[in-house]
Parts: sequence; structure tokens; C-alpha cells
Amino acid sequence: MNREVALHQLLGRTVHDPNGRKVGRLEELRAEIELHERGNDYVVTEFHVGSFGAIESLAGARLARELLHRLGRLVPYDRHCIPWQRLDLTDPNHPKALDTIEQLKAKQRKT
Amino acid sequence: MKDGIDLRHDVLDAQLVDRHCENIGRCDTLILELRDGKPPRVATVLVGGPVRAERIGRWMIALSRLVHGGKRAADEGVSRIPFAAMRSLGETIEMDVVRDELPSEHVEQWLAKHVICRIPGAQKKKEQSRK
Repeated sequence: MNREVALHQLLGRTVHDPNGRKVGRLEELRAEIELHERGNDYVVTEFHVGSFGAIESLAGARLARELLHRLGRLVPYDRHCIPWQRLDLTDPNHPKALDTIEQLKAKQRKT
Repeated sequence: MKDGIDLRHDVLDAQLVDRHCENIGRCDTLILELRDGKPPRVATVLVGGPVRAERIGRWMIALSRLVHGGKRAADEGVSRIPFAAMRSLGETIEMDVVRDELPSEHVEQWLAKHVICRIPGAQKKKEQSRK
């Protein structure tokens, strides 16, 4: 059954991993065009979760990353891109990542 | 138009214009359709005071209800525009709608008619902009 949720109700929500540990806050949703017979739709393909994701939204990912890189060890910054299949939104108020923090960090290192 | 968009950065709070490039307000929120086994679909753009009030907080909703004497329906004055009506995305987002047909425009029109037009010089400015 399809459900509806407002974007502003999702943004800023804390995402937890299967072990109940905090991954970060939901800061951005990436959407892409999906082509089908009846026309085109934008669908969410990726969720960006991070402790400093808000800076990205304000200044753009490249500038934020550069700034945080320069600040170095003073600012712990974690950013995870979670594909839509790996985020459980059954309860939109309590989104859950299906991967553990370790798995997310490993994926981040690969990219 | 870009293939991928960041909904918060590119769409939320962006200026919306209708097919005649008239401002129709800002994108106050987006409705996502959560589907089983499929990616969430960006379904609708919401524009209007009640949605803005909801984003500000409960006290703003309460204030809004107080002003309207509790008679106003929760979605009154809210325009629901299908996201598929988006024509282009840039500094502004062009939607394939007509401004005057949107419920959220009723307040704007009332203000323009009863308040803005009475400000000295408003009529002259309006005529200049038409030329």
C-alpha cells in the first residue's frame, strides 16, 4: 500500500543502523528521472546522511568537503550515501539503515 | 534540465513560476509517495501558508487557527501541484499551471486588491511595470 510523507518531515530525522546506533541525520535526497510507459517521474534514488550534511546543502558538496578537509581533525565529519533500497522508511519518523555503520564506512572508503 | 536533482538544495524553497513566468510562490514542501518495493516517488509540490506554518512549528499552526477562528480546513489555501507539471529547473522552477487557478493565490490576490493597491504610488508602479 502506498503512503505519503512530506519532505520537511523526513529532513533532519536521525537515522539508526540495525544495532540501534546513530548513523547521522537525513540531510538530502537525490532524485532521478524514471522513464515508464505513462511518462516520466522523479524518484528518490539516494539518501544522504551525515553529521554536517546541512553545510553541504548551504554551500554545495565540493565547497563543504574542501572546508571540512582544511579544518582537518578538528571537525569529525561522516557522510553516507544510502541507496533507497537500503533505508527502511516503514516508520518515516524513525528511518533505519539496513547496513551497519561499519558497512556504510567500508562502502564510503571504496567510493 | 539535469537528470538528477537534490530535492532539498535544488527544489525546497525554490521560486516557482507558472507557464506565463508569473511568480506563484515558493516550494513549501514536497510530497513523497512511499511504494512497496519501489523507490519513493516525488509526487506533489505543496505551496501555501498552512504548509509554511507547519514547517515553522506547532505554535504557528495554533496562531493560524486562532486568526481564522478554527473554521479554516487544514489544507485550505494550499496548492497541490503534481511534480510531473515541472517544465524546467533552474534559478526558478517553471510549472505547467496557471497562477489564477491556484488556491494559494487567493490570499495574494486579496492582499493585492485590498492592501497593496491602497499604498500611495502602487497603481503608478503597476502601470509602469505593464509598459
